[in-house]
This record gives sequence, structure tokens and C-alpha cells, in this order.
Amino acid sequence: MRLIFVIALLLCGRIADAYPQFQLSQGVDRCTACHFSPAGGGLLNDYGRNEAGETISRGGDGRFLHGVWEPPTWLRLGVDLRGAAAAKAQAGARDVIVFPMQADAYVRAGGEAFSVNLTLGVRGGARDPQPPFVERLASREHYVMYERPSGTYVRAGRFFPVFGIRSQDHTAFVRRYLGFHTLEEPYGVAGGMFGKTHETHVSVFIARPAEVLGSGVKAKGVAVYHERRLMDDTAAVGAQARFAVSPDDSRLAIGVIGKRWFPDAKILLLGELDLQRQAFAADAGPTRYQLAAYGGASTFVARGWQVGAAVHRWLPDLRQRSARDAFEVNVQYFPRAHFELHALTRVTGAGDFEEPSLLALLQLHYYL
Amino acid sequence: MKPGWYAVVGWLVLIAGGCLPAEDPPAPRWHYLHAAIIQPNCATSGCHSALTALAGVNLADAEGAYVILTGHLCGQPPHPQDPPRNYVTPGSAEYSELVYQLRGVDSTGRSYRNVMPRDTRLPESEISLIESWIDAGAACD
Repeated sequence: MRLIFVIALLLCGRIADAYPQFQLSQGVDRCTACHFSPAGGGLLNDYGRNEAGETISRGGDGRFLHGVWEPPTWLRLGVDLRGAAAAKAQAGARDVIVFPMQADAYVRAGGEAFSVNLTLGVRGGARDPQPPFVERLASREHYVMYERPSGTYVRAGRFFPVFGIRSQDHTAFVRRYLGFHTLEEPYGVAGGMFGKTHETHVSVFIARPAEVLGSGVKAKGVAVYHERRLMDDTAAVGAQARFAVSPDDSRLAIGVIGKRWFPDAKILLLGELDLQRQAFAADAGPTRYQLAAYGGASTFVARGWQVGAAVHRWLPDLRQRSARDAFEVNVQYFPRAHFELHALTRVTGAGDFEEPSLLALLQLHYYL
Repeated sequence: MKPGWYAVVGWLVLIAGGCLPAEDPPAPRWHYLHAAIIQPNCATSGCHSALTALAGVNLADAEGAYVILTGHLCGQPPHPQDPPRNYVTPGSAEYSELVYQLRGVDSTGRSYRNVMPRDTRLPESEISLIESWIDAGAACD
């Protein structure tokens, strides 16, 4: 039974980020076309909600509350609810679980220039015994932002720096091992600009001020991301760097990303490769050089149906030649605006894959 | 730089990652093991972070994790009232539950159900480092 709860908690933190697969393939060139956040994810803007009904799904009204009530223009609201069933096999053990995954509410108050943004939700609810409700409340993001019509912005508060492909899957190795796992959002100040063919973001961050606010390494540092779109917005390449210092180590990650949309084949390729140097405080051990990589392909086989496959690779120490790899296949069905059904199958293994772990996950996602 | 060059550079890095000369594992120290292996793999949000501390196990900081795993205070000499054995039996990886959890088998070769991490096994090189540290006395250095 304990195993079931642990697996549930591992999966509970899955958050409602953007789908990077939609960029380029759906006629939008940046995350902010559909989301308020410069990094994507979270609350959808009016265009994003419209797209959810008109393009992504098989119909329906994507507006808040299905259009029954329209909040005033200075207020934007949203809710994400996810539940899942998972079957998992590892080292001879097999388990099937059904559990709540996410319950987040979003509030954005303000005008086109200045806004206050808050995400408030309930974290991992599958633990036994259940902690008091108040202790399970968590706010992954809360920040104030100033933006201009030209595309420049500055924001301050809690959020992930713009970095990487920004997969919605927090277990993707390029997220999990590079400081972008669940509730690892730091506090900081960020600024950036969106041009016609490029975007640039710079984030300076510090560790969360209290342990109860999140998880992960408590580090301070800086992250830089630059992306350039090419070939009539059917391709994008990006370069990025992140330097983080904690009391125990320092990590310098340098990476590249690439996206390519093939309109005729209707296939999107998405890749990220990062090299990280981890140096330890007080000469605790030798410096490690690490590699995290992601490669994926996705396609809409019919309106409302997205199919994809991805490869993840993580080498925690290049000189030890010891790797962790994962292969996955995804099917996402968007029957109507506000609804998503996501089936994921993933095989993960270390080294020679002698004892791989298998995961089959069926997720139901509903948003208001 | 043209897009093709990014791909070329990327593949060169990948190839280089597999071609670096293998080195013998370094002499493991606890603070190295914690920052390199324990923290990123175990102290995540849904598991043994300070926030969640599943099963009462908080592995977020090196000193606290050392106490939980060994039963001894970091930097203190063994005390008669220390628990006789916890997840780690200093000097014997073979009789340390932590190794059973990481390898999925106990000292008799039988399957060990409480495997960690839950999502997939650690790479062999990292398990070996932890075993070396335990066999060397599991010091809090």
C-alpha cells in the first residue's frame, strides 16, 4: 500500500504547463500567444481559450465557465483539475492506482500593462495519512508583471525562469534533473522581449525563503534564454544557460533547443540538449559533467487527436558512462474544449536496461 | 549560426559524452554523495523533500539525511544511545537496507519490494559509489 502512495505522490505534482508541441504546429510562434505567462503554462488568455475550442479540440466553448459568465476585463480566472489512473511495474512489483493529480486555481488581475498573477492549489493528496488541508496548499507561482505592447516585460515574484522546451511533463529529464521539478520554482526578477522572429529572457533568482514553500536545491543564480524562429516560423533554435549556486554545489548548464515543423507531413520535432557542470563546495568531490537530452515528435492525426513519442536521456556523470534513458508514447484526445484525455506509456531504465520500469498512465484533465 | 550547425554541435556533444575516457570512481564523501545523488534523486517534491518527508524521511539536507540513514549525528562520535542500525550499517554495504532498496535485492539475493527510487533504479555507478562509502565506514565527511 505504501508503494501505491509513493507512486501517487510522484505523479501528483504534474502541473498544467503549456504544451510546447502546439508552438509552430498550430500557427502560433510563442507561448504568450495562448498564455499570460512569458514561460507559458498556467492560465490561458482569450486567444488561447478560443484556440482550445476552435483548433485544438473537436469543438466547444473554451471561455471561462464555458462562456456562461464572463469576468470583467481586468480579471481573468481559471481552474485546472486532473485525475489519473496508473499501472506500474518495476523489479517484479506491479501496482495499479487511481488518484487525484492536480487542483489549481489561477487569478490574474490588472490591465494590459500591469498585472498581479497568482496560482493556488493543493499539492499531492494521496499520502496516508492525509496531512491537514492547510498544509497541502501550495502556490507555485505568484508574481507581479509589467509588460508593453512592444513585447518587453519585467516580472517579480515566484516563477520558473524561461528555460528549455518547457514541457508540461515535470518528469522529463531536462526538467527533473536541471532544477525544474515540481514545486522547485524559485523567487526572482525577470525581464525579456518578444520580437517578430526572436525572444530573449533573463532571470535572476534566489532560493525560496521558507522550506515549506517548495522542494529542490535552494539555489540562487541567473538564467538566460534566447530563441530565434526561422523558415517562415516553421523552425526555431535556441540557446540557453543557467548558473545556480547553493550551499553544497554550483551548477552551470549550457544548452540548445530546436523545433521543426513539417507542414506537409504535419509532424513537429522537438529537441533539447544540455550540458551541466556540477562543482561541489569544500572540495567534497570531483566536479561532474552531466548531460540531459530530450527528443520528441508529435502530430495531430485528426482534429482533437495528438500522437507523439519521445526519448529522454540523462547522464549524471559523463566520465562514469552511466546513463538513465526513457522512451515514451503519448496519445492525447481533446474531445471538447476544457477536456483532455492523455494516455502515456513509458519505459525507463538505467545502464543496459536489464530491469526497466514500465509506466502506463491515463490522465483526465478538465479546466474551467 | 544556421540551424543545421546546432544539430551538428548537439550530436558531437552526445558522441563526446560516450567517448570520454572512463575513470575509476572517486573516493566518495558523504557531502558529495548527498549533493550528487541523494538530493536530486530522493529529495524531490512528492518524496523525501523537507516539504513532504514521506514515511518521515527527510533527505533534503546533508546533515539531516545522514542522521536518518545512519542513526548517528553528523560530526559526532558514535554514542552508546545511537540506534544500533538504520538504513545504513557503517562498514557493511552487504547488510545495509539502503543498498537493498537501491538494488531491489537483499543480501540473500531475494527480491526486495521497497525499491528506491520509485520511478527507476539509479545508474549502477551511483549505487556503487554509495556502497563504497558505506564499506569505507559511512563517515559524515
